Amino acid sequence: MAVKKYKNKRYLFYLTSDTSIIKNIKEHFPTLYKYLFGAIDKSILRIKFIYKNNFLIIQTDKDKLYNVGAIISILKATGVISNLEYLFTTTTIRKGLEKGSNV
Amino acid sequence: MSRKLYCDLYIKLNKKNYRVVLDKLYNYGVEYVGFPIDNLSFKDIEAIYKYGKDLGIKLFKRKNIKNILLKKEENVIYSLNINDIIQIPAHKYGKIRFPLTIHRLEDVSYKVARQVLPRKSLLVEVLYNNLFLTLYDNSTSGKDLPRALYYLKYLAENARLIVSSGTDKVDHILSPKEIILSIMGLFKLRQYTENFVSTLPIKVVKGWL
Repeated sequence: MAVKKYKNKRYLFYLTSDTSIIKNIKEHFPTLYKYLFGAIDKSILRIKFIYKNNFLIIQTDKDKLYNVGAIISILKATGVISNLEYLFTTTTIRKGLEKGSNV
Repeated sequence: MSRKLYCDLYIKLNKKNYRVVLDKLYNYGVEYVGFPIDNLSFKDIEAIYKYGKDLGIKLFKRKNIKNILLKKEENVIYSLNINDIIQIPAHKYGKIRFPLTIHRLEDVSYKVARQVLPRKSLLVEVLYNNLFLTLYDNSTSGKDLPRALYYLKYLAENARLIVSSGTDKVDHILSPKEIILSIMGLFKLRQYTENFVSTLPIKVVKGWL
């Protein structure tokens, strides 16, 4: 039962020492998400931001992985959040990046 | 499968930032870097080239042009604003051996898209810094999604889109993996199309240089 519960979850990993980063992301995330993908409420609620030991872990549903990644990238590239280094996702992007490596 | 090259073909280097920016790109595995040379002195350009050479990064000057030059210069990639494509006769499009750069998303009108989208030989370069800034600003001001996004999606699906940074700030630079992640999310691409973003097939790069 426990395995089934997390089956469709995916994770994005980032490295940062900025503890306020979750607050900054949460402030802008809903607006951007709704603007770009038209969804809010339950979709947003299932996305979790966890900060632990300088790791920012974003837990999301499988079908939202790239959407979430896109928003974080937008916030980073526009300078809204900074000092954030992307590490990996828990799913490999097909035919892209280094094969067999999530890092 | 052709070998992929990570590249950033439009990054604004200057006397103050070139070291940290090139270091960051090198750490991200970027091999080819293009930088505009407006406002750079000959000495600055020399210093940039030297630093890039020490890191093992291949550098290219980006030169703005209004008309198509038929004569190639070494280590130069031309920059033609996508808006200027309208001024070029259609029968000359086959001679274009460089990307059409989108500096402002608003520049990509339907008229411009109608000229560019059907021509398979034309590659388009978008600067993600400007793209994301526009999306971010529009999201808070209640504007509609820019229509140009749909043109970019089409280009990405057909492996004709190049994504470069267009920034001079080291903190705003994304890694190639982040760029791929964000483009796939933004355009809702279900399949990673090889060589569509921040990567170029080596045969394309060789054709330009």
